[in-house]
Amino acid sequence: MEAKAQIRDFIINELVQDARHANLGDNDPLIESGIMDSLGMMKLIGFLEDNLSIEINDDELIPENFSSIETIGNLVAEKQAG
Amino acid sequence: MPNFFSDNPDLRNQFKRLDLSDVIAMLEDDFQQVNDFPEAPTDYDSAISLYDSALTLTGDISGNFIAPRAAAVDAQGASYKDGEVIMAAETSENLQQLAAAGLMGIILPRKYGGSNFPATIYMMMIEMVSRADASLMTLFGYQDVGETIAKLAQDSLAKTVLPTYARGELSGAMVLSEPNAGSDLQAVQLKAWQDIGGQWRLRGSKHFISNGGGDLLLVLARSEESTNDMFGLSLFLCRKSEQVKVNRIENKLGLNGSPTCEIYFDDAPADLIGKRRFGLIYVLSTLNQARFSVAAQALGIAEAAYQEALKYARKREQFGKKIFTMAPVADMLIDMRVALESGRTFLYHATQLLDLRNRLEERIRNLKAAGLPYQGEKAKFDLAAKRIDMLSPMVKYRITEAANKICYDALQIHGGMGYMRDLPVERYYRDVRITTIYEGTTQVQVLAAAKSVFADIMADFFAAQAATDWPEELQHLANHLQSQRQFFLQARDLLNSEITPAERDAGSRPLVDMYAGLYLGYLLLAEACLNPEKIPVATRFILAEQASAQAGLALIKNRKFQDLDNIDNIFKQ
Ligand SMILES: Cc1cc2nc3c(=O)[nH]c(=O)nc-3n(C[C@H](O)[C@H](O)[C@H](O)COP(=O)(O)OP(=O)(O)OC[C@H]3O[C@@H](n4cnc5c(N)ncnc54)[C@H](O)[C@@H]3O)c2cc1C
Repeated sequence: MEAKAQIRDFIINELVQDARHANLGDNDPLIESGIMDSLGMMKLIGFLEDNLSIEINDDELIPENFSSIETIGNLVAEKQAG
Repeated sequence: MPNFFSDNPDLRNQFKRLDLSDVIAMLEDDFQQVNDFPEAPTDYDSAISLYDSALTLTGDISGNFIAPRAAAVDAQGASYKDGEVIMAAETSENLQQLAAAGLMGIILPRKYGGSNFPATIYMMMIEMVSRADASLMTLFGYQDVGETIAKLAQDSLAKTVLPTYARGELSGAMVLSEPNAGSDLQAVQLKAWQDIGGQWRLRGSKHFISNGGGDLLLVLARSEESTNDMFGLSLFLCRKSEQVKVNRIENKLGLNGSPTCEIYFDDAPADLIGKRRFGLIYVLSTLNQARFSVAAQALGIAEAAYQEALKYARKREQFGKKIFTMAPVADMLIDMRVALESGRTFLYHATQLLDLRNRLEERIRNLKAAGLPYQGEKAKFDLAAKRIDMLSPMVKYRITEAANKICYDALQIHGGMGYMRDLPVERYYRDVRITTIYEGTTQVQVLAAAKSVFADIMADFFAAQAATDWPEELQHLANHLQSQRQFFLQARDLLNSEITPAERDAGSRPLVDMYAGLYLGYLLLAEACLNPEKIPVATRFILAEQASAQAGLALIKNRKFQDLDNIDNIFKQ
């Protein structure tokens, strides 16, 4: 499965856990909507490290990189390419 | 005086039932640690017997040394003079005693002078120490700070500070809360900045810090200018110095022996721990254990209160008979005991999973580093981690609330005497009150657990339990649990339907209760199968939970929480 699809699955199954957000789109805001709170962020970082072997550096832990499924996917793609 | 381990059959029974084989094997590097550390256990049985001795020693110190001093600690309390925090003399003696027994580095790795024990054993120790003197737990319990340093700090820094820490010569504190950042730690404002030499410095205030006058302070601070969210926070290790000023200590309801400090950091030098911006993430990752510690503290206080109530009820006569023979009093006593024993089952079940989760995390890291496959470990890790995410807030919430009720009833059983300073029960009642507040309030725990509850993460477990053949004499309890499961599913669907977020949030509490009742109900049923002595506990617990699940469903069905859509109107005057 491509990385973005895995990220989407993880966010929907592990973070959203709420029927009301079941149709979350790739560009929907994660932080403002409260889907990605600090605990969610901790879990996502663990997921990226464990499942995609991506280690997030300190300068990458900024809201712009985690604001939607799309931006997280882009960050991962960039790191996998680089 | 009693030994708080050997005089407590239920705690001993929980210890005997532990299944830590995988955890200990990983913790002891498949029993290879003994090559470097002669004191390390050589197999599972020798590890268990090592823990047994350490628990017996803790029970002895708790029952015979700490408990007799607790009233004096409470009366004298910690004090403050000329910028210095002064512990009650008895508190210092207690700490010396624990340090001399080698109990201040229980969970630290051996390479840092620790004992390398599982967290479960440490929690059992916390329970006993808190039964003796709840205020001492905030000092005994700062071993978590050392563990965080061991995990995150550079090895050289850890090697400098931790061995002294493990000997109890240095003390620590977790420095998170600020006046405007309590439950919401994203709002932390204390500033961290780098001087021209690159040295990090901390400037600003923190409040409500237990042992804030300690030597090693783990501080959450804002390292990224012009941010106001979690992405700007980092974690620092700051040592006691002239530039860390305790401004005052709080005058509070209970835990008098534990100084709760307001601290001012006056450009105090500090070391960055781990990565920049990851501060809150690190803090959250320490929270699971910290919450279980508070649950263990609450259980310890509740055990002390229960013992006092039982003693009093056996002695006190009214209307020509002992009050413990009167059904309403006996009913309270039995409820207390059921809450205590079921609480222990829940807590130590959860801490074993926490140990498993933590050890698997470490093993996976090592396997990855060595380029070896780790998929088997990963599947087990995911399962344990998912459950712990739910159990840590759920267990903390349920046990601390139950412990408050136990202390309330213990005081009630004493009648007017309970209200007097002469007997210890009023102290337990005051001391236990904090446990539903710090390390995350009840309301915050409920919302944290609710996520997993709405997602029904235990569905497979419940289905497997429902399909189990229970012994005939327990089948009626299994039937009750099955109907409870139906109540839960109905309530969850109602809360998931078209209702407002306010109504859903408020309905989360009965829903989380239903789930906890169901989960723990099955744990107790399994225990009762193996140990007939547990049948009465399982029975009373399941019957009571069944009734409250029914009531919870009714509240949600009848839309009790509907008026919350009108909060502004209700409180308009
Ligand atoms: C004796 C003592 C020792 C302490 N020791 C330490 C320490 O060592 N280190 C440290 O950093 N801190 C410590 N604290 C602080 C403690 O962790 C906080 O008091 C606690 O987290 C609650 O924060 P608060 O007091 O700001 O309450 P608030 O967050 O203001 O909460 C007030 C009320 O609002 C509710 N509430 C808040 N947010 C929500 C929400 N999202 N949903 C529903 N309800 C909500 C709460 O449940 C509570 O009922 C200590 C506190 C005390 C009293």
